[in-house]
Amino acid sequence: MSILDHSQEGARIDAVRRYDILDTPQDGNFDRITAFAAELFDVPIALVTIVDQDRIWFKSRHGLEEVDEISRDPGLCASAVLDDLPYVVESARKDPRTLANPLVSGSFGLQFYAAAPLKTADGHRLGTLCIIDREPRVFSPRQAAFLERLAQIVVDEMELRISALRVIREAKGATVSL
Amino acid sequence: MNVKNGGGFAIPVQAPAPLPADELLSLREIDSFTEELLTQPEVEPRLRTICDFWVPARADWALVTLTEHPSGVLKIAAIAHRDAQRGNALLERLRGQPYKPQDRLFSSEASGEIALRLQFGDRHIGVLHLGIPPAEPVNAQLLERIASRSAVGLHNAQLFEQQRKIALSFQNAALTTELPRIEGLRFDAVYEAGQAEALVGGDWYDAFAVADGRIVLSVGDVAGSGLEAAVAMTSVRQAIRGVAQVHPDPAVMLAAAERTLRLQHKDLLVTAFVAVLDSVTQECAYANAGHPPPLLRTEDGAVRALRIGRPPLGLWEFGSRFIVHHAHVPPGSLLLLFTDGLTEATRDILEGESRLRAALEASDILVYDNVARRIHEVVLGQRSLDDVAILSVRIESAREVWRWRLDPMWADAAARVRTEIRAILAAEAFSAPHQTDFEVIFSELMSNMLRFAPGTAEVILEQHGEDFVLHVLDKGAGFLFVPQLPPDLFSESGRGLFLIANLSRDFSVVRRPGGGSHARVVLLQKDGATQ
Repeated sequence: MSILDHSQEGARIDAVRRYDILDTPQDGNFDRITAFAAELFDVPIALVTIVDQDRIWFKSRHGLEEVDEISRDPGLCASAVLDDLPYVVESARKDPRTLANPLVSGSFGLQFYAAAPLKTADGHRLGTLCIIDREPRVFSPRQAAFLERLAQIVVDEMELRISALRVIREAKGATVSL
Repeated sequence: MNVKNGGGFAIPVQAPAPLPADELLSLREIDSFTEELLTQPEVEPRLRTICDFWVPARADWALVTLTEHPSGVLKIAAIAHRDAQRGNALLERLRGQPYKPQDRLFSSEASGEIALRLQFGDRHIGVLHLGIPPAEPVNAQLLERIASRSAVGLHNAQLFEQQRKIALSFQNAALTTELPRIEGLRFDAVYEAGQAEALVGGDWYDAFAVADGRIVLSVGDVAGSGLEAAVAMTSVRQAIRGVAQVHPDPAVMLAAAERTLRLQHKDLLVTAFVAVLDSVTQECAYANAGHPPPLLRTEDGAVRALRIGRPPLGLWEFGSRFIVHHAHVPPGSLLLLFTDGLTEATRDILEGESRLRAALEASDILVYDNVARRIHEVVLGQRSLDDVAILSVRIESAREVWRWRLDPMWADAAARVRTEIRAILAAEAFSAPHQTDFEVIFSELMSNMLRFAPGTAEVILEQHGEDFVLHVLDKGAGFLFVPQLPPDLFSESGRGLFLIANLSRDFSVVRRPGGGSHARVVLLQKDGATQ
């Protein structure tokens, strides 16, 4: 787990802004992926999260109707974006990385967490595709590999989306300038 | 007065002549003595009645010896004296001592001594010695009649006590139960034979573990009393025990009890409650046949009855089945099983039940290690007239087990769990062949999961003294275990489970209350033999 490098973090936040995704409405494509992840791994909750400067915002939240963002406490998503490899916590209450996190110690009762970072072509980790359970579970390397592949699909979706947005804006801009 | 018989002859009947005054008095005395004698069925009170008749009204002192069979030795059983204190002191000192008719305990006294044999048919019961004041001769007929009634009374009392002793020892032997010693559970029990009833009744309790570590609890009541009830009670209790070793399902156990009753004790009615407690899943499965429902106290102090309605055993309708219900019993729970002697002592059931509930709701009940005894004390005090059986189980802490949750669809996840379990077993010195057995068992269980119960599974390894029990729980459609060989030995569906059964000490699969199955495998250990 690598420590937060402030210059790197600055570049990362710029990348997040470029994808123009924070606080956008729910999107069927992303929801389909989280639903699929939840089904595949048999967990109640699956999220696409974007890690902003001081918060973690949910682009898609399967199994979690009430919340759409949380603070950037250490552990879980905040830690998951610090490395390229999947971040797996099989038993959160016993894991020193997470036992102090409010989602684990508080009433939410998070006990299992696995995340694959959403990694752009230029290497920035914008957020995660993560799965959550309220009971501990075993999570194998093959499962983690699958999660990574799904995370890649999420990134592809984000790329497609931002390209489409640019095209539309350029077309609009051209129209306006006419 | 004339009475005509069928043939027409008249038979003269003479009215009885009036009795002389003293004879009339004697008859009245004998009558009231006899009535008094029959009030209590035991020997001791009857001895007292006999002594009280003579002393001090008609004799200075009385001494009764009873024949000890088969030795024939006469032993002092009762002493009464005009000076009551002296009489009591003497009795205390000499009770049970041999005394021959030639012995003269009261030789210094002025009274003349009479010794009367107490005989019933050809059975020698004992001797009644009386010290009669010389100035007051006693009516010989009175003496003889009282003595003969005393003999009969004492003989019957001895018979009664002997019967009672047999029934009690039989029942004690039958009911001797060493309560299970299981980590995280605390048991306590009370059994008391009734005092008002002439003979012992048919109440029982039972608590024991089966091979895979589940605990079976039972409590019941055979209607009636005496040796027959005690024997029927043992039959039913044993039927439940026997079936439990093969199939610890409450409905199956009650059905077996029902069958036993119908075959061996046709006219008796029995109420029974059976529960199977799993301290790993913290679930309790139970079934009831007409018995007062046990009470469950949860950690928050709330008390509820485990109620379901089914008639008592002995009223079995052909084809009817007992229904199994489930209760969750997490740490902090307290289960109380009992027979109706606990709530019906005052004959006011509602009052008894509310006393019981209050005693159980009291927050200090958890302080006591001996909950059953405490309940008995608080609810009954000294008032126990009927048989009472009470069994308490306190779930103190969660079992310490190894636990994994995984999706068997991912082969490497299953492989990892298998490796971890293998390491645990190796550390516990499982022999190599038995470790291989485990590998096969685990693979077969995982394959079955994949075929019939996709989704997350829970694998638990539990240590039970020397045994290891492997549990696999799933939420899926579940699979049923068929204990005999499938027609096609190599068919996928039956073979795997048959293999598991043969490689382990015990194997069972049960449906879970919320859906899915729970498979339990007792692994063969160091020197276990296959079934």
